Amino acid sequence: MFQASGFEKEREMIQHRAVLMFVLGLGMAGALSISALAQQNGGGAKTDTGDEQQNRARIIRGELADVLGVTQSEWQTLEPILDKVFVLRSRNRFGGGGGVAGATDANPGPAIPIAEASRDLRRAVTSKDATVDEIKAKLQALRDEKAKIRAELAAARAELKAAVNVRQQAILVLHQYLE
Amino acid sequence: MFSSKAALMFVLGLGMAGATSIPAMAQEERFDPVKMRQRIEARLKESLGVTQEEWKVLQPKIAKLRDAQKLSQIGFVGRGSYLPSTDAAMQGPVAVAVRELQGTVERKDSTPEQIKVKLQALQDARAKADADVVAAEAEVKALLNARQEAVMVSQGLLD
Repeated sequence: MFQASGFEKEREMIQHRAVLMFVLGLGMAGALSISALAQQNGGGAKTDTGDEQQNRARIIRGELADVLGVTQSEWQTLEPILDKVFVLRSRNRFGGGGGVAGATDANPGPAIPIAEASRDLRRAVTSKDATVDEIKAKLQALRDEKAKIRAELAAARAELKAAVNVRQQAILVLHQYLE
Repeated sequence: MFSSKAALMFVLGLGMAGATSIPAMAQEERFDPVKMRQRIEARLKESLGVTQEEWKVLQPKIAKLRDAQKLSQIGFVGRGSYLPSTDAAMQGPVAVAVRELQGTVERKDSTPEQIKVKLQALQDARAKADADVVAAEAEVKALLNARQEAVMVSQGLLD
């Protein structure tokens, strides 16, 4: 009885070790592949669509809700404003660099005016036929779109600032939701 | 027998995940930030269509602009992490102000007034850093024609 129990225990332990080794193996190789995949994707900024941004925003904000120390009903008020700021901030930051919405000629991504303006400018500067005036017009169109995004972002930030106290405002400044 | 099974499971685990990671590992081994920067600069020089002489004048201005941008873009992005992080940027006024505000917010006994002071200090540091970016941008723009300016804007290097 004692021997059988010891054997069972030992077998259980070895099985447990085998599973552990399997997970460890997966983990070791997985860690390498994740960082490499991130590198392949250019750090993730290049192919952001609105949906991907929203999903990422939700994950990050799960932590943010705790840090802000808001109640469920306060969070229901804050969340849509944070959503708006997050998306506008990303478009403001990456729109000019060909970042938002995929931005390849083969896969143009969703129709976002700043992404389209960015794509149009990129096409113009790489085209041998584009005149200086055409390039200037595309450049101005992109800057106009950026100005619109900045105005919308400023309005969304003002709305957010009005909904929080000083401590919460400071936290949101640290997280760059507010300036 | 069981230990050989454990070893087999380990190898199997490595193999499954490794199938996707082998090309990536090779890529990671090749990564060299200095060479990467040189490649980016070479591509930019080519896109701008400047001569070697022109590049000698332009390159330090672009480097100055990128440094100014790094200093202004620091912010809290998670527990204890900042974006982007270079040693110089982490010692800059914005990074220092970010850390001070963060410390004040994390202390339970900080008063709203203390938070306001640190918040204002960070906002002032960011305003100064943003002004430095605008000045550095103006220096670069002054050296470019319309096409070159558009190239730099399209690459996110100029506003």
